[in-house]
Amino acid sequence: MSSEEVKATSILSALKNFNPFVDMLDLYLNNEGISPARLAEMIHVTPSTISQWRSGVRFPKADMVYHIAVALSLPFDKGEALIKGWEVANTIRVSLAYLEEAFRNEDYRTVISVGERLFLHKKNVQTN
Amino acid sequence: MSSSANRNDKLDGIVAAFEQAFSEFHEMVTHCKDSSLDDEARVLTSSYDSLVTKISIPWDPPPSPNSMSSTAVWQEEVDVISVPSRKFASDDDVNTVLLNSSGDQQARRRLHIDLGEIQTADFDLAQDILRTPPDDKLTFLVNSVTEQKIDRIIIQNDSIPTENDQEKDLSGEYNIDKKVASLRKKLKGNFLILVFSILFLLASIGLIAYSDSASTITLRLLSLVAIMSVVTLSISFTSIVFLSWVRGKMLSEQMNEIKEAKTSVRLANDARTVVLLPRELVHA
Repeated sequence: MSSEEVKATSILSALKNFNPFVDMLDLYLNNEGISPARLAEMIHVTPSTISQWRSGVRFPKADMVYHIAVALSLPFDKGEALIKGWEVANTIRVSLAYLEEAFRNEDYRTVISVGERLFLHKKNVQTN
Repeated sequence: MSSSANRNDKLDGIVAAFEQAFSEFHEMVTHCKDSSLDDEARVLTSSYDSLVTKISIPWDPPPSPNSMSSTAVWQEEVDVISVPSRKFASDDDVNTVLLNSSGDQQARRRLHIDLGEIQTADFDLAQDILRTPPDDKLTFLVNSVTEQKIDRIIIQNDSIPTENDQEKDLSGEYNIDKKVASLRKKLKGNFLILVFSILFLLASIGLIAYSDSASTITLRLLSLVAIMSVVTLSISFTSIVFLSWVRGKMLSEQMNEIKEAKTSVRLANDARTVVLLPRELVHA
Protein backbone atom coordinates (compact mmCIF):
# COMPACT_ATOMS: atom_id res chain seq x y z
CA MET A 1 0.00 0.00 0.00
CA SER A 2 1.53 3.31 -1.07
CA SER A 3 1.72 6.24 1.33
CA GLU A 4 -0.77 8.15 -0.85
CA GLU A 5 -3.24 5.29 -0.61
CA VAL A 6 -2.77 5.15 3.15
CA LYS A 7 -3.39 8.86 3.52
CA ALA A 8 -6.39 8.82 1.17
CA THR A 9 -7.84 5.92 3.18
CA SER A 10 -7.31 7.89 6.37
CA ILE A 11 -9.05 10.99 4.99
CA LEU A 12 -11.99 9.00 3.66
CA SER A 13 -12.35 7.15 6.93
CA ALA A 14 -12.27 10.39 8.94
CA LEU A 15 -14.93 11.98 6.72
CA LYS A 16 -17.12 8.87 6.87
CA ASN A 17 -16.94 8.88 10.65
CA PHE A 18 -17.99 12.52 10.83
CA ASN A 19 -21.74 12.23 11.23
CA PRO A 20 -23.58 14.97 13.15
CA PHE A 21 -26.81 12.95 12.97
CA VAL A 22 -25.23 10.03 14.82
CA ASP A 23 -23.64 12.48 17.30
CA MET A 24 -27.07 13.90 18.10
CA LEU A 25 -28.75 10.49 18.16
CA ASP A 26 -26.19 9.08 20.59
CA LEU A 27 -26.43 12.17 22.77
CA TYR A 28 -30.21 11.94 23.03
CA LEU A 29 -30.24 8.18 23.57
CA ASN A 30 -27.74 8.68 26.35
CA ASN A 31 -29.63 11.59 27.88
CA GLU A 32 -32.93 9.72 27.82
CA GLY A 33 -31.35 6.47 29.03
CA ILE A 34 -32.76 4.55 26.09
CA SER A 35 -30.81 1.74 24.48
CA PRO A 36 -30.52 1.47 20.69
CA ALA A 37 -32.43 -1.83 20.87
CA ARG A 38 -35.29 -0.13 22.74
CA LEU A 39 -35.36 2.68 20.17
CA ALA A 40 -35.55 0.06 17.42
CA GLU A 41 -38.66 -1.37 19.08
CA MET A 42 -40.20 2.06 19.45
CA ILE A 43 -39.82 3.02 15.80
CA HIS A 44 -40.45 -0.48 14.45
CA VAL A 45 -37.10 -1.23 12.87
CA THR A 46 -34.63 -4.00 13.64
CA PRO A 47 -31.79 -3.38 16.12
CA SER A 48 -29.29 -4.04 13.33
CA THR A 49 -30.78 -1.14 11.35
CA ILE A 50 -30.04 1.22 14.21
CA SER A 51 -26.59 -0.28 14.53
CA GLN A 52 -25.96 0.26 10.81
CA TRP A 53 -27.12 3.89 11.05
CA ARG A 54 -24.75 4.50 13.91
CA SER A 55 -21.80 2.87 12.17
CA GLY A 56 -22.51 4.71 8.91
CA VAL A 57 -23.18 1.55 6.90
CA ARG A 58 -26.70 2.74 6.15
CA PHE A 59 -28.38 6.12 6.23
CA PRO A 60 -31.93 6.64 7.53
CA LYS A 61 -34.65 8.19 5.43
CA ALA A 62 -35.91 11.61 6.48
CA ASP A 63 -39.20 10.30 7.89
CA MET A 64 -37.33 8.01 10.27
CA VAL A 65 -35.68 11.04 11.85
CA TYR A 66 -39.13 12.42 12.59
CA HIS A 67 -40.17 9.08 14.13
CA ILE A 68 -37.05 9.08 16.29
CA ALA A 69 -37.75 12.61 17.55
CA VAL A 70 -41.31 11.61 18.44
CA ALA A 71 -40.25 8.31 20.07
CA LEU A 72 -37.68 10.10 22.23
CA SER A 73 -40.19 12.86 23.06
CA LEU A 74 -37.64 15.47 22.09
CA PRO A 75 -38.62 19.11 22.57
CA PHE A 76 -38.82 21.22 19.44
CA ASP A 77 -35.30 22.68 19.53
CA LYS A 78 -33.68 19.29 20.10
CA GLY A 79 -35.78 17.69 17.40
CA GLU A 80 -34.63 20.47 15.12
CA ALA A 81 -30.99 19.78 16.01
CA LEU A 82 -31.49 16.09 15.19
CA ILE A 83 -33.03 16.93 11.83
CA LYS A 84 -30.34 19.49 11.05
CA GLY A 85 -27.70 16.91 11.94
CA TRP A 86 -29.35 14.52 9.50
CA GLU A 87 -29.36 17.18 6.76
CA VAL A 88 -25.67 17.96 7.22
CA ALA A 89 -24.78 14.26 7.35
CA ASN A 90 -26.77 13.71 4.17
CA THR A 91 -24.95 16.51 2.32
CA ILE A 92 -21.62 15.06 3.43
CA ARG A 93 -22.73 11.60 2.36
CA VAL A 94 -23.55 12.81 -1.16
CA SER A 95 -20.23 14.68 -1.42
CA LEU A 96 -18.44 11.65 -0.10
CA ALA A 97 -19.75 9.55 -2.99
CA TYR A 98 -17.51 11.53 -5.39
CA LEU A 99 -14.49 10.95 -3.23
CA GLU A 100 -15.26 7.25 -2.92
CA GLU A 101 -15.48 7.02 -6.69
CA ALA A 102 -12.10 8.73 -7.02
CA PHE A 103 -10.69 6.31 -4.45
CA ARG A 104 -12.06 3.30 -6.31
CA ASN A 105 -10.37 4.63 -9.47
CA GLU A 106 -7.13 4.83 -7.46
CA ASP A 107 -7.14 8.61 -7.86
CA TYR A 108 -5.71 9.08 -4.37
CA ARG A 109 -4.34 12.50 -5.26
CA THR A 110 -7.89 13.87 -5.59
CA VAL A 111 -8.88 12.53 -2.17
CA ILE A 112 -5.77 14.00 -0.57
CA SER A 113 -6.21 17.35 -2.34
CA VAL A 114 -9.77 17.66 -1.07
CA GLY A 115 -8.67 16.83 2.47
CA GLU A 116 -5.87 19.35 2.31
CA ARG A 117 -7.97 22.11 0.80
CA LEU A 118 -10.73 21.56 3.32
CA PHE A 119 -8.72 21.27 6.50
CA LEU A 120 -5.00 21.79 6.38
CA HIS A 121 -5.20 25.57 6.24
CA LYS A 122 -7.80 25.48 9.00
CA LYS A 123 -5.73 23.47 11.38
CA ASN A 124 -5.65 26.12 14.02
CA VAL A 125 -9.23 27.24 13.57
CA GLN A 126 -11.68 25.95 16.09
CA THR A 127 -15.41 26.21 16.15
CA ASN A 128 -15.57 28.40 19.19
CA MET B 1 -10.54 21.58 -22.38
CA SER B 2 -7.50 19.67 -21.17
CA SER B 3 -7.76 16.70 -18.82
CA SER B 4 -5.93 18.73 -16.20
CA ALA B 5 -8.56 21.47 -16.37
CA ASN B 6 -11.29 18.83 -16.17
CA ARG B 7 -9.69 17.38 -13.11
CA ASN B 8 -9.41 20.77 -11.46
CA ASP B 9 -13.06 21.52 -12.19
CA LYS B 10 -14.06 18.20 -10.66
CA LEU B 11 -11.91 18.89 -7.63
CA ASP B 12 -13.40 22.36 -7.22
CA GLY B 13 -16.88 20.84 -7.40
CA ILE B 14 -16.16 18.27 -4.70
CA VAL B 15 -14.52 20.84 -2.43
CA ALA B 16 -17.45 23.23 -2.94
CA ALA B 17 -19.91 20.46 -2.02
CA PHE B 18 -18.01 19.70 1.17
CA GLU B 19 -17.64 23.37 2.00
CA GLN B 20 -21.40 23.73 1.67
CA ALA B 21 -21.88 20.81 4.07
CA PHE B 22 -19.45 22.23 6.62
CA SER B 23 -20.97 25.67 6.28
CA GLU B 24 -24.33 24.14 7.21
CA PHE B 25 -22.63 22.33 10.04
CA HIS B 26 -21.17 25.54 11.48
CA GLU B 27 -24.57 27.19 11.21
CA MET B 28 -25.96 24.27 13.16
CA VAL B 29 -23.34 24.69 15.90
CA THR B 30 -24.08 28.42 16.10
CA HIS B 31 -27.80 27.70 16.25
CA CYS B 32 -27.25 25.22 19.10
CA LYS B 33 -25.22 27.78 21.03
CA ASP B 34 -27.82 30.48 20.45
CA SER B 35 -30.55 28.12 21.64
CA SER B 36 -28.62 27.19 24.80
CA LEU B 37 -28.21 23.62 23.58
CA ASP B 38 -24.79 23.46 25.20
CA ASP B 39 -24.42 19.67 25.18
CA GLU B 40 -25.25 19.53 21.49
CA ALA B 41 -22.80 22.34 20.68
CA ARG B 42 -20.09 20.65 22.72
CA VAL B 43 -20.56 17.24 21.08
CA LEU B 44 -20.60 18.73 17.57
CA THR B 45 -17.55 20.90 18.20
CA SER B 46 -15.63 17.98 19.63
CA SER B 47 -16.58 15.83 16.65
CA TYR B 48 -15.42 18.52 14.20
CA ASP B 49 -12.17 19.10 16.07
CA SER B 50 -11.50 15.39 15.96
CA LEU B 51 -12.08 15.37 12.18
CA VAL B 52 -9.73 18.32 11.65
CA THR B 53 -7.08 16.70 13.81
CA LYS B 54 -7.30 13.37 11.97
CA ILE B 55 -7.05 14.95 8.54
CA SER B 56 -4.38 17.44 9.54
CA ILE B 57 -1.82 14.85 10.58
CA PRO B 58 1.00 15.02 8.05
CA TRP B 59 1.72 11.68 6.57
CA ASP B 60 5.23 10.48 5.96
CA PRO B 61 5.78 7.17 4.25
CA PRO B 62 6.55 4.47 6.81
CA PRO B 63 10.25 3.61 6.94
CA SER B 64 11.27 0.43 5.21
CA PRO B 65 12.79 -2.22 7.50
CA ASN B 66 16.21 -1.71 5.89
CA SER B 67 16.25 2.02 6.48
CA MET B 68 14.99 1.79 10.04
CA SER B 69 17.53 3.08 12.49
CA SER B 70 18.63 1.12 15.53
CA THR B 71 16.67 3.63 17.62
CA ALA B 72 13.47 2.80 15.78
CA VAL B 73 14.01 -0.93 16.26
CA TRP B 74 14.63 -0.31 19.90
CA GLN B 75 11.39 1.70 20.22
CA GLU B 76 9.44 -1.32 19.14
CA GLU B 77 10.56 -3.21 22.21
CA VAL B 78 9.58 -0.52 24.65
CA ASP B 79 6.49 -0.85 26.78
CA VAL B 80 6.63 2.01 29.18
CA ILE B 81 6.83 5.46 27.69
CA SER B 82 6.92 8.85 29.25
CA VAL B 83 6.50 12.27 27.75
CA PRO B 84 8.32 14.63 30.05
CA SER B 85 7.26 18.16 30.52
CA ARG B 86 10.24 20.45 30.43
CA LYS B 87 8.93 23.94 30.57
CA PHE B 88 5.34 24.85 31.13
CA ALA B 89 5.28 28.58 31.69
CA SER B 90 1.86 28.59 33.29
CA ASP B 91 -1.53 26.99 32.90
CA ASP B 92 -2.76 30.04 31.00
CA ASP B 93 0.17 29.98 28.66
CA VAL B 94 0.23 26.37 27.61
CA ASN B 95 -1.23 27.10 24.21
CA THR B 96 1.86 28.91 23.12
CA VAL B 97 4.57 27.47 25.28
CA LEU B 98 7.30 25.45 23.64
CA LEU B 99 8.70 22.44 25.31
CA ASN B 100 12.39 23.00 24.90
CA SER B 101 14.85 20.41 23.89
CA SER B 102 18.16 20.14 22.14
CA GLY B 103 16.67 18.08 19.34
CA ASP B 104 17.62 18.48 15.75
CA GLN B 105 14.79 20.33 14.06
CA GLN B 106 15.43 18.57 10.77
CA ALA B 107 15.10 15.16 12.33
CA ARG B 108 11.82 15.71 14.08
CA ARG B 109 9.14 13.15 13.63
CA ARG B 110 5.52 13.46 14.42
CA LEU B 111 3.71 11.20 16.76
CA HIS B 112 0.02 11.14 17.34
CA ILE B 113 -0.65 10.70 21.02
CA ASP B 114 -4.01 9.75 22.37
CA LEU B 115 -4.31 10.98 25.89
CA GLY B 116 -7.51 9.29 26.84
CA GLU B 117 -11.12 10.20 26.51
CA ILE B 118 -10.95 13.92 25.87
CA GLN B 119 -7.43 14.63 24.83
CA THR B 120 -5.75 14.28 21.51
CA ALA B 121 -2.52 15.97 20.73
CA ASP B 122 0.19 16.07 18.16
CA PHE B 123 3.71 16.43 19.33
CA ASP B 124 6.78 17.02 17.30
CA LEU B 125 9.27 14.57 18.59
CA ALA B 126 12.98 14.85 18.43
CA GLN B 127 14.78 12.03 16.77
CA ASP B 128 17.35 11.96 19.52
CA ILE B 129 15.52 9.71 21.90
CA LEU B 130 17.18 8.99 25.19
CA ARG B 131 16.90 5.92 27.29
CA THR B 132 16.87 6.23 31.02
CA PRO B 133 18.08 3.00 32.58
CA PRO B 134 17.38 0.93 34.51
CA ASP B 135 13.59 1.17 34.69
CA ASP B 136 12.79 0.66 31.00
CA LYS B 137 11.59 4.19 30.54
CA LEU B 138 11.79 5.84 27.18
CA THR B 139 12.22 9.58 27.30
CA PHE B 140 11.09 11.62 24.33
CA LEU B 141 12.40 15.11 24.03
CA VAL B 142 9.38 17.09 22.98
CA ASN B 143 10.39 19.96 20.73
CA SER B 144 7.17 21.83 20.42
CA VAL B 145 3.50 21.40 20.88
CA THR B 146 1.59 22.26 17.78
CA GLU B 147 -1.91 21.17 18.63
CA GLN B 148 -4.26 23.89 19.76
CA LYS B 149 -5.90 21.64 22.33
CA ILE B 150 -2.78 21.40 24.39
CA ASP B 151 -4.49 23.31 27.16
CA ARG B 152 -6.38 20.15 28.01
CA ILE B 153 -3.25 18.17 28.63
CA ILE B 154 -1.63 17.87 31.98
CA ILE B 155 1.87 16.57 31.75
CA GLN B 156 3.80 16.18 34.93
CA ASN B 157 7.49 15.84 35.44
CA ASP B 158 9.37 12.75 34.61
CA SER B 159 10.27 11.27 37.95
CA ILE B 160 9.74 7.61 38.66
CA PRO B 161 6.35 6.72 40.21
CA THR B 162 6.59 6.16 43.93
CA GLU B 163 5.47 2.95 45.61
CA ASN B 164 2.49 4.84 46.95
CA ASP B 165 1.43 6.00 43.46
CA GLN B 166 1.70 2.50 42.14
CA GLU B 167 -0.71 1.30 44.79
CA LYS B 168 -3.13 4.14 44.07
CA ASP B 169 -3.62 3.56 40.36
CA LEU B 170 -4.51 0.27 38.74
CA SER B 171 -4.37 1.55 35.18
CA GLY B 172 -0.78 0.62 34.56
CA GLU B 173 0.51 -2.74 33.60
CA TYR B 174 3.35 -2.41 36.04
CA ASN B 175 1.01 -1.64 38.93
CA ILE B 176 -1.21 -4.60 38.19
CA ASP B 177 1.81 -6.87 38.11
CA LYS B 178 2.78 -5.60 41.54
CA LYS B 179 -0.77 -5.97 42.83
CA VAL B 180 -1.07 -9.52 41.62
CA ALA B 181 2.28 -10.45 43.15
CA SER B 182 1.23 -8.87 46.42
CA LEU B 183 -2.10 -10.70 46.41
CA ARG B 184 -0.45 -14.01 45.66
CA LYS B 185 1.81 -13.48 48.62
CA LYS B 186 -1.18 -12.77 50.83
CA LEU B 187 -2.92 -15.78 49.40
CA LYS B 188 -0.11 -18.06 50.56
CA GLY B 189 -0.43 -16.61 54.06
CA ASN B 190 -4.15 -17.15 54.04
CA PHE B 191 -3.74 -20.79 53.06
CA LEU B 192 -1.45 -21.33 56.04
CA ILE B 193 -4.12 -19.81 58.26
CA LEU B 194 -6.66 -22.14 56.72
CA VAL B 195 -4.49 -25.17 57.45
CA PHE B 196 -4.19 -24.09 61.07
CA SER B 197 -7.95 -23.57 61.21
CA ILE B 198 -8.52 -27.12 60.03
CA LEU B 199 -6.13 -28.38 62.68
CA PHE B 200 -8.07 -26.38 65.28
CA LEU B 201 -11.29 -27.88 63.99
CA LEU B 202 -9.90 -31.39 64.36
CA ALA B 203 -8.77 -30.49 67.86
CA SER B 204 -12.25 -29.22 68.69
CA ILE B 205 -13.78 -32.51 67.49
CA GLY B 206 -11.43 -34.24 69.89
CA LEU B 207 -12.60 -31.83 72.57
CA ILE B 208 -16.23 -32.71 71.85
CA ALA B 209 -15.43 -36.37 72.34
CA TYR B 210 -13.70 -35.47 75.58
CA SER B 211 -16.58 -33.21 76.73
CA ASP B 212 -19.05 -36.06 76.29
CA SER B 213 -17.10 -37.95 78.82
CA ALA B 214 -16.30 -34.87 80.94
CA SER B 215 -17.47 -35.17 84.43
CA THR B 216 -18.36 -31.55 85.22
CA ILE B 217 -20.68 -28.93 83.64
CA THR B 218 -17.87 -26.35 83.61
CA LEU B 219 -15.67 -28.51 81.43
CA ARG B 220 -18.53 -29.15 79.02
CA LEU B 221 -19.29 -25.38 78.70
CA LEU B 222 -15.65 -24.53 78.16
CA SER B 223 -15.29 -27.05 75.38
CA LEU B 224 -18.49 -25.74 73.72
CA VAL B 225 -17.11 -22.17 73.68
CA ALA B 226 -13.81 -23.43 72.24
CA ILE B 227 -15.65 -25.32 69.49
CA MET B 228 -17.76 -22.30 68.49
CA SER B 229 -14.71 -19.98 68.38
CA VAL B 230 -12.72 -22.31 66.21
CA VAL B 231 -15.61 -22.90 63.81
CA THR B 232 -16.20 -19.12 63.47
CA LEU B 233 -12.52 -18.53 62.79
CA SER B 234 -12.47 -21.29 60.20
CA ILE B 235 -15.44 -19.77 58.33
CA SER B 236 -13.87 -16.29 58.42
CA PHE B 237 -10.53 -17.46 57.12
CA THR B 238 -12.15 -19.52 54.41
CA SER B 239 -14.08 -16.42 53.24
CA ILE B 240 -10.92 -14.30 53.22
CA VAL B 241 -9.06 -16.89 51.20
CA PHE B 242 -11.90 -17.19 48.70
CA LEU B 243 -12.28 -13.42 48.24
CA SER B 244 -8.53 -12.97 47.80
CA TRP B 245 -8.53 -15.70 45.19
CA VAL B 246 -11.37 -14.03 43.26
CA ARG B 247 -9.67 -10.64 43.40
CA GLY B 248 -6.35 -12.07 42.29
CA LYS B 249 -8.03 -13.81 39.37
CA MET B 250 -9.77 -10.61 38.25
CA LEU B 251 -6.55 -8.64 38.38
CA SER B 252 -4.70 -11.33 36.45
CA GLU B 253 -7.33 -11.17 33.70
CA GLN B 254 -7.09 -7.39 33.61
CA MET B 255 -3.33 -7.62 33.30
CA ASN B 256 -3.58 -10.05 30.41
CA GLU B 257 -6.04 -7.80 28.60
CA ILE B 258 -3.65 -4.91 28.86
CA LYS B 259 -0.79 -6.99 27.57
CA GLU B 260 -2.86 -8.19 24.65
CA ALA B 261 -3.95 -4.67 23.76
CA LYS B 262 -0.28 -3.86 23.20
CA THR B 263 -0.65 -0.45 24.70
CA SER B 264 2.15 1.24 26.44
CA VAL B 265 1.34 2.82 29.67
CA ARG B 266 3.13 5.38 31.65
CA LEU B 267 1.99 6.77 34.95
CA ALA B 268 3.10 10.19 36.00
CA ASN B 269 4.38 10.39 39.48
CA ASP B 270 1.29 12.10 40.88
CA ALA B 271 -1.02 9.49 39.33
CA ARG B 272 -3.05 12.21 37.61
CA THR B 273 -1.70 11.62 34.14
CA VAL B 274 -1.78 8.44 32.15
CA VAL B 275 -0.22 8.52 28.71
CA LEU B 276 -1.37 5.75 26.44
CA LEU B 277 0.60 5.05 23.34
CA PRO B 278 -0.57 2.29 21.01
CA ARG B 279 2.69 0.65 20.16
CA GLU B 280 2.25 0.82 16.42
CA LEU B 281 1.94 4.62 16.61
CA VAL B 282 5.50 4.85 17.84
CA HIS B 283 6.41 4.32 14.20
CA ALA B 284 3.91 6.80 12.80
